[in-house]
Amino acid sequence: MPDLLQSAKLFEVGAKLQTASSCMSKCAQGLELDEKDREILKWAGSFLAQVDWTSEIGVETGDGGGLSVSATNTRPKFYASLLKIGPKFSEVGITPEKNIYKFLKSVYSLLISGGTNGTKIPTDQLELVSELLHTLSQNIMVDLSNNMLPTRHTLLSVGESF
Amino acid sequence: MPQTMSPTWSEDKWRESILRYQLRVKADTIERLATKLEHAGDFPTDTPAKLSKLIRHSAQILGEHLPTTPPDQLINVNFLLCSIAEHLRFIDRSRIANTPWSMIQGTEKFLKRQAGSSTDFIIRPQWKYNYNLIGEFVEVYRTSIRSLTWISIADWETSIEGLAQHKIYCISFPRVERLNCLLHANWGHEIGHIIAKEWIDNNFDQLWQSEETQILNSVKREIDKNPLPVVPLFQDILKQEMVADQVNKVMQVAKQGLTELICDAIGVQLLGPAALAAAIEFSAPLSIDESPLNRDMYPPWRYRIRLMVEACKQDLEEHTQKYEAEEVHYPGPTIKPFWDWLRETTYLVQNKADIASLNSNIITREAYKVICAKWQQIRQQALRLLLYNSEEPYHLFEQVRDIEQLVHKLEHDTPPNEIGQWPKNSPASLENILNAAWVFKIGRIRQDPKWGVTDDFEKLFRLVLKATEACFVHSTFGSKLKSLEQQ
Repeated sequence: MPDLLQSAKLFEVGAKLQTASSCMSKCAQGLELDEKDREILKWAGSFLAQVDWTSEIGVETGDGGGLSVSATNTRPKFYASLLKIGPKFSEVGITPEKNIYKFLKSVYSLLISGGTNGTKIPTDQLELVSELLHTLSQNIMVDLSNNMLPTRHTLLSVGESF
Repeated sequence: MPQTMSPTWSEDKWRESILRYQLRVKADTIERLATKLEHAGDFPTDTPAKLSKLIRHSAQILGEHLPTTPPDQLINVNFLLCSIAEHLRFIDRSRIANTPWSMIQGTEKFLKRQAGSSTDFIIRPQWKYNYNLIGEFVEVYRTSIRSLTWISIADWETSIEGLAQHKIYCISFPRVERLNCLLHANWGHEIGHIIAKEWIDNNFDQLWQSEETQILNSVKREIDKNPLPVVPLFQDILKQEMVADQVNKVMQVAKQGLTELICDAIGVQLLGPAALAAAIEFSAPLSIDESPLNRDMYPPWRYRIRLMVEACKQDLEEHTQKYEAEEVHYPGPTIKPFWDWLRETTYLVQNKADIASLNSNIITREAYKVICAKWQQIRQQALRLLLYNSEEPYHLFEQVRDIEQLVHKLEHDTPPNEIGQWPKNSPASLENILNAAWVFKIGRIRQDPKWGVTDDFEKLFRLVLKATEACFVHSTFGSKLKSLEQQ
């Protein structure tokens, strides 16, 4: 059975992460965040802290919205996004690999605070956070929509059906 | 062609300008198509019109808010509009000409009895050879639209009026089986998806939290047995990705497995041996020991049938019961051929090839370790979610006399729609009609080698379809007719 609601929940995660990415970009440009922006950042922080096994941040679970399931679902895409933007960490001076985890912990704290302690993170690193959130959102959406391409099903005969 | 890029040109702005007018047209077109279907009128119930209305208002609100949609969210709105547009096909295919229409009202009444009166069903054929249940549409749209922060969810709820409190599902059946109402006993499994979803929503997150650490450790141990190729950068992140991917797959296998097994349990609870018979017939041409990893995470059919056979255990044993001061033996001569046929499934499930297939891989092994350990408790919890009188399972052995009457009618080419004779008659239940039809069919196949050509089946299907329509009319208007008779 196609699980439409599971897809809708992933859509929700993808759309919210994209909004959080825009908010991070605003932070990097020194623009004001409104209350809605702060709420989205708080949500993104709690969500990513649960997605990332290395976060060591205690997050309240069991909100009835299936956060644990969504987190498990998103986790492979999260690490794939980290690998995708990996070289950019060294460009902004975050090396070696163990420092990436340290940096991510400070990102989750920033997000959970609703962006209020953003001054502690340099602008280029805030832009990198925005890019990570955008990449993760895009990974989720492309996976969900298959980039609007038909799914291929092999047939008994030679060839494939659309 | 310009050879050098303009310094003012931006790919993002260029794409945005295209998307803004493209999405405006898309939203308007969907709204118009939905309006047309909403007023088409050739549907067996008013549910298709309700889904049309939901789609029309959702497309309208997405279109109206395009001027304030953030540029980086336009592609997400496009995805949402395209998904909504796809749902129009469910409405279009549910027109009277495409469905076993005589069965639709009675079936919807049966389904509503299990799912609640504010739940509506669209029943439509699909060319793909499968049954499925899709939805619930109102919640799906609510979840998607509430993530778009520039649209007020309250405005959307107001626009769809009373539908915000409704639930709309679409049940699909294989087009080539349109008349095969015996196989439509699979609808019991499909309504089980509503119950399974409720169980999953309320319990799976917690179950997963309690099992994830142990599963994570097992997966890590397995991956450590086969060390990764040495890569200079991000070795640790690469390993985390592999572990996360496998743990996610364990979760998907467990979730999908539990969902399907709960649905089977509900199907048997509601329709008894007719549900088991439909599952046996549906799976007969399929490979029944396939790993869930090869089959969209579905449990192997042999595993499913084993649990259904266990649930039907009492109907597969002999019984003697008192019925109006008379001792009634089950199965008795009418039901016995069907009973013998069902009992042969015990041989089928003694073979453990499905278990071997599940144990051959860490992902399925871990998922089914959880399922196996928790199944009895989960099944009980899920069955308790059924409404009204369905907490008590349907048992064929308790219906011997009624089934015999209905089979007798089929043997005389009469629709098996009622028990007794006017005015001391009562409409037969959908459950009894379907079980009687299976008893008749298997009896005929086993006793008469010449029976079973297409015309024989089609006659049986038409008698059963007529019976489901007549029993719906009888149960809805029968008491009024009787009171008119007495005046």
